[in-house]
Amino acid sequence: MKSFQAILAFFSLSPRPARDLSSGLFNRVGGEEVIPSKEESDAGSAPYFTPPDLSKTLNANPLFLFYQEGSPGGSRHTIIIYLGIIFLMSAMALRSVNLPGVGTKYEIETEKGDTIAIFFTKTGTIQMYTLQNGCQTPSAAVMTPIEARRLGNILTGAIIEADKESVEIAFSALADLRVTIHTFSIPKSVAGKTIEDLQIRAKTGATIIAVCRHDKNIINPPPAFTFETGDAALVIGESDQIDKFEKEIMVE
Amino acid sequence: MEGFIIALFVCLILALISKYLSIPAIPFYIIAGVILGKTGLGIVHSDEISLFFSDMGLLFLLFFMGLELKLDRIIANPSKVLTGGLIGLTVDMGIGFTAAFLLGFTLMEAFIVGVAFYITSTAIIITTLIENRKLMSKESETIIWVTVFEDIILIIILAVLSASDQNLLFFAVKIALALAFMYAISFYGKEFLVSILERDDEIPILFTFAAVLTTASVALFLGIPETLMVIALGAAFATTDPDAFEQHARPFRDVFMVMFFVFFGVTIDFASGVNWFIVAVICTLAILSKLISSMIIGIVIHRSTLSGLEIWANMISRGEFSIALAVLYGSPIITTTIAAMVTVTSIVGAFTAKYSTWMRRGIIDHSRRKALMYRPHNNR
Repeated sequence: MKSFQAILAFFSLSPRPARDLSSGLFNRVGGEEVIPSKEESDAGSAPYFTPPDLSKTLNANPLFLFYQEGSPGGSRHTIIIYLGIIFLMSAMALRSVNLPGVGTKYEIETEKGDTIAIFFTKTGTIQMYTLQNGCQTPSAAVMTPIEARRLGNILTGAIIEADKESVEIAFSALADLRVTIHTFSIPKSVAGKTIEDLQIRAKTGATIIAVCRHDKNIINPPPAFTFETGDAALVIGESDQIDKFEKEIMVE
Repeated sequence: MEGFIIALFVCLILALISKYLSIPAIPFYIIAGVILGKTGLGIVHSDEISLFFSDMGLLFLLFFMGLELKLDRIIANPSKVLTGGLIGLTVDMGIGFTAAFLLGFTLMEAFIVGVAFYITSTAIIITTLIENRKLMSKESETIIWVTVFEDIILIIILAVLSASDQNLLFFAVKIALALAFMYAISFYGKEFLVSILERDDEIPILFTFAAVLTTASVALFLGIPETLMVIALGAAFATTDPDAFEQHARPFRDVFMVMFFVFFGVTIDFASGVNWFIVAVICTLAILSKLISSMIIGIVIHRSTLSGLEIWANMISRGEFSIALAVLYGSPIITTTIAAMVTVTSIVGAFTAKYSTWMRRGIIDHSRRKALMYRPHNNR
C-alpha cells in the first residue's frame, strides 16, 4: 500500500496545481453522490484506493485523472486527484526518498542495470540524472515542470502533434469511468457540412465539445455549426466511440 | 536610514554578481557589511531599524530550521543519520574546541567557537548540491543527512546555552508548557490552519509573519529564549502543512537574512586588535578538520576515500548558523574569528564543490596511469 502511494505521489508533478485542480473538480462532481466502485467496497482492508487496470490505460493514454478517497471511517469524502503522467510506471524497482531541504527523489534501476534518478527540488525545477551501468559519473538535465511534463508525454508514447492529441481521463471512484478526449483536424470531405448534417451523435455516440478555428475557440458548437477546412475539432466520448468517429466521419 | 538603503542596494548588486558566478552570496554580504561599516568606510551604522531587521532574519532562519525538522523521518532511518553525524560531531567539534582553547580562548568562548566551527551551512550546501547537479551521487544523500543531524545538535546546544543561567527546573517546565501549547494548537487546530494557508489572499502570509513574531514576543515575556520557541513553532507547524508555511515565510527569510548578514558585517570591528594568527589558524583548521571527518565518513559509510573527498568538497562551507551563534553568544573576538572563518570557508567551499568532479577525475586518471606504468614482470 505504501509503495503504491509513493507511486501515486509521483504522478503529481508539482503538488500545488494538483491541489488546485482537486478543488475545481470536486465542485464539479460534488453534486452527485460519489459511488465507490465494486472492487472498492469489496476490498475492505484497503479502502484507500482501488488500483484501476493500469496496464490497459497505460497503453491508451498519456494523461490520467485519478480519484483517491481518503479517511476510510470518516463521514466526509476527501478526494485527492492525481493528475499525472505515467512516467516510469512498471514493476521495476522504484525507490522514492524525501530528502529534507532538497525535495523528493525517485530512482529506478532498469533491467539493463542503468539508473535513472529524478529530483523534484524545492526550488521548483526538476533534475533528471541518468547513470549508465558501470559508469561513475551521472549526466544531469535540469527541467522546468512544463518541460518535464513534455518528457513524460514522450515517454508514455503519446502522440504529440497538435492535430491528433488524445487524452483519457479515468475516474476510479465513479465505477472506473473513463472518458477520452481527442482532437481531429477537419478533412476536406467534411468541410461545408454542419454537425446536424453529419449526424455525429447518432452515428458514433461521440460529441464535439469544441472547435478551434484560426486560433479562436468555439466551445460547445450548436448543431447548425458549419465546419471549414483547417478547423480542429475536440471530440469527447468512449474510446470505441472515438474510433468510430474517426472511421465513419473523418474518412469519407 | 540612508545607510540602510545603501546597504540594501549594495546587497542587491552583490546578489546578482554572486548568482552570476554561482558562488554563495553569504560571504559577499558579510564583506559588504565590513566595508560599509565600522572597519571600512563607516557609511552604515547599526541602529534600531537594522537591529530589528537582523532579529527578524535570525527568527525566520530558525523558524525555517524548525519547519525542516522532521523528527519522524530521522527516527525512520536513524543509522543513516547517526553514523555520519556522530563522526562529524566528534572530529570537527573536537578539533575546533581544542584549537580554540589552545589559542587562548576561555572555556566558554572555545565552546562557542567549536560549535560554530562544527556547524556547516545547510543553505549553502544544499543550493550548491542542486546547482552543481550532484543530487544523484550517494555521497549527496550522506551529506544531506549529516546536515540534518547538525541541525538537531544545534538545537540541543542552543537549549543548553540558554538554560545555563536559569533555574533549570522552572525553565524546563516553562519550555514544556510552551511546547505543549504549540503542539496542541497545531494538532487540534490543524484544519483551521490548513484552511488559512489555502487562501489565495494576503491572509496566509500575514498569519505566518504574525505567528513568528507573536511567538518570539511571548517567549521574551515569559523569559524563555525566543530562538528555541521559534524553532519549536516551526516544528509544530511542520505537522500541518510545512510546504505552505515555507512558501509564505520564504520572502521574509530571504530579505531579513540578507540584512542579518550585512549588519553582522557592519558590527564587526577588525580595526581594534585582531589576532590574525588566530584567525588564520582557525580558518585553515576549519578546512582541514572537515577533510579528516569527511574522509572517515567516506571510508565508514561508502568504503571509499574518493567518496570522502567528495563529501569534504561539498561540506566545507560554514554559514548562517555559525553567524547566528556568534550574534547570540559571541564576544567581539569570537565574532571576528567566526566572520573570517565563514567568509573563507564558504568561498573555498564554493570552488571545491564546483570542481570536485575534476579533482576526482584527476585522482582516478593519476592512479590509472600509475597502474599502467607498473609492470611487475619487467625485470630486464
